[in-house]
Amino acid sequence: MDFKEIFFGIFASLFIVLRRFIFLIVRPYRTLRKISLEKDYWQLFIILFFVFIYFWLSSLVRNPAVHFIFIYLLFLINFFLTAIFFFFMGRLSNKKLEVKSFLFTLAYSLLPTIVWFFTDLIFYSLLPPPRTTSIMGRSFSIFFTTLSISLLAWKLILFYLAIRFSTRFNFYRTIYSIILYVCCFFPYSVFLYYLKLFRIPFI
Amino acid sequence: MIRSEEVFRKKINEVFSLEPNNLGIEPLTGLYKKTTHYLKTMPFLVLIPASLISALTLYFIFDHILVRLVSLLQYGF
Repeated sequence: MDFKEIFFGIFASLFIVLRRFIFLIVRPYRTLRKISLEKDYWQLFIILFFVFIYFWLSSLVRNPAVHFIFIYLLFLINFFLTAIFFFFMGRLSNKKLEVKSFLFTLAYSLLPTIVWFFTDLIFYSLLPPPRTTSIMGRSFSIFFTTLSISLLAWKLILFYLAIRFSTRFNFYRTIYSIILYVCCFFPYSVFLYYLKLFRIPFI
Repeated sequence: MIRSEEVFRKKINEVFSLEPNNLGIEPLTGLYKKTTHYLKTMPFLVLIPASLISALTLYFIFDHILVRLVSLLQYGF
């Protein structure tokens, strides 16, 4: 495989990732179902690269307590542990599952998180907090809350679908496994918060 | 001909690779299907108005607390 072939391979994967980002807005169910059958690992690297760019930019805007690469590595550990957690949950009832399906669906379900954190970064630079109780401040607060709630709802939909398509669980089992995951992840997030590594967990 | 047969087989496998959800109680399954129908395609048509209503409700109930919460979220990244 020569350099030209690799370059066009990455470019094609980038195009697919961007196209799927749009389709996750328009048709999340069908798109995530297709993503669960994905095999092209370049797409995974591209999404993780977007996250890397976010951590790098945020470190330029706000000085983090530790180097941004360390925070990014923590995010990668979180991400892979999440995939392994759900993989083993799925393996309890279905031995045919593949870990790559979890990696792809969970990576694509990071899209609302990436959008929210980038938006937050932009608003932090344009309209630095704290917000006031003036008409402008209140209007912005309503707008930002609306944006945050819709992105959170989108995230929940994508996360649920990611787990459902990867594990092939039914509704109840999917919800139970997500609750179990939250029970494990919540104390860990609080721990990271007290270490000043993550204010809001990047999941 | 072989190509279209392949596409058809792939599509069928894709559709039947996952069992449809059954919540055990018929009205509950119906409600689930009706709700998810709106979220499968163009979910933002439902999510944005619902979020706006929720944000306005939160604003009318909590007022200053919501403004403070937004400030806190803005420091959140």
